[in-house]
Amino acid sequence: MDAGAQRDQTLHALIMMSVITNSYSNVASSFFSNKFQRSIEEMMVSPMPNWVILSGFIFGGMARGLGVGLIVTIVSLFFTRLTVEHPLLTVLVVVLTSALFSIGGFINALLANKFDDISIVPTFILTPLTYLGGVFYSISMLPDFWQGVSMLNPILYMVNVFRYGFLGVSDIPVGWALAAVLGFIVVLFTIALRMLERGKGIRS
Amino acid sequence: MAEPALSIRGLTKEYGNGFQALKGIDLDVQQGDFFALLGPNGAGKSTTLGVVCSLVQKTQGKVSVFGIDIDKDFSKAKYQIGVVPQEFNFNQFEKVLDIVLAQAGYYGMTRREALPRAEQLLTDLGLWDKRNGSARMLSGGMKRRLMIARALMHRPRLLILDEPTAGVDIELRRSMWEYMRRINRDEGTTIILTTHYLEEAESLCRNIAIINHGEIVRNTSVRELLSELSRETFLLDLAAPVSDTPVVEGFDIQRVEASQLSLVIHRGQRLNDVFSALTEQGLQVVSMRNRANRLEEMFVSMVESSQTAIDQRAEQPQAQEARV
Repeated sequence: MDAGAQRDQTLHALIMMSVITNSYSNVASSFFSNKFQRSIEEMMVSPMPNWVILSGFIFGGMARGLGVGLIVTIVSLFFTRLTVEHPLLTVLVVVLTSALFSIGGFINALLANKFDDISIVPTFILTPLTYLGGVFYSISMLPDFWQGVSMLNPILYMVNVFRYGFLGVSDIPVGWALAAVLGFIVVLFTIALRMLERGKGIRS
Repeated sequence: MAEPALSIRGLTKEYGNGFQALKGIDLDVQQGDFFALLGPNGAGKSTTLGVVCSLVQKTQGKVSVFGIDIDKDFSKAKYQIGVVPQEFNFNQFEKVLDIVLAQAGYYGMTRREALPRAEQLLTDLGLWDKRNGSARMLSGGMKRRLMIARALMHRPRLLILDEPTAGVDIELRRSMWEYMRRINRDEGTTIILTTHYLEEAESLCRNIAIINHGEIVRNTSVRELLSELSRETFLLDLAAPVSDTPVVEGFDIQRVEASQLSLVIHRGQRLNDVFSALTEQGLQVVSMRNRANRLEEMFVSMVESSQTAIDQRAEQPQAQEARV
């Protein structure tokens, strides 16, 4: 891999990482803060449907994640020239990624009992998954066994579609990867909504 | 007859650890009432109100708000309810005005509709000049008033006040009472109040329920409850100290301090008789007051008798086991 390709790969990784961590942390910390201050009760006693409450937090996380991702992209333009093969696909995958990790942050905050609980997941699960999801390298460089293990990592799919948007190349079929991301979003959204309806972590 | 503002039937709440906080409560609060739900700490007051406003999940039972079953249409029922919880539950870092406007938004009010309402409520409750300040900078009393303003934003027909004046100074408490009386009288808002200040319940409420150990011990009007008061205790301040407790036949008199006596008057006894007897003994009473609030005496005796009944129920199986 030449220096330019390496730089591009690192840049894609940095944009994706900033979107993932900011989307996740924004929802996790803001929802947990509402739980901690009990101001979540304002929403619980109101007639607002649970899906609206959940969507509100998700959109908040997405706004933060996409905003930070945009800033990282703009700053990077001072140092490199970005080429985007499929702009719409690139935007779509970033939006879906921020949605997915916002939902993840919401579930984390629902289950959290103390502030430590909302930092454990990003530190010990999210960051390793991000690094091992082919963010800084192509999984084709790994032995077969580790390629198989990497396929279990949801972040791999997002990174690949994202990279495909920029470079037009991917380790896995793009359609399959997009379907996987959408599938994760539907499943996690359903889980988060069910937990909210049952009052998990917020109702006695 | 109009639907009750709140109707509860067979309400139970059992926590995961097996603790039964509510043991089949039945309760009706009529529209327009000012109703007190009293009980010692941990009796089940907040749990009951928590179920009504969806902060606590019930185990069994039916709850209806103005005839709307919360199991069938909780959203519709929630439009009717305003809640002032026991503990501060707003974002302390938000501005006062933003807190009440956000709450209005949760109930579907536009900002245009909500602004005049917010101005009116914050002005009425003495918070309008604090509207742009952070909520955490408010004093304890102001925070309580903020929660009342927030709860009234969407014009609820049923207002639940869970110890709204806890930790509030006397002057402010009385101004809050006046405000609550006004919204009950002028706007017809049904109010359910829990409080530990029994003077507050006696002064404000028309009807009352006493709850202990998750059971309703008594549900009646304040007037009827007070009429059943079989005894009252007074403190008498004497003009000069006495060394011995004076004895007046038929009356229970105790010496509290050198120049203060306590006197228990049972129903049918007359204060005049005591004063005459004390005057004959050369004692002069310069002032007199109730030792406790009248409702407080009633409340304590009811809670004590309910505790005795529970203790007896607990002892019965043990006695049967011992006989076996």
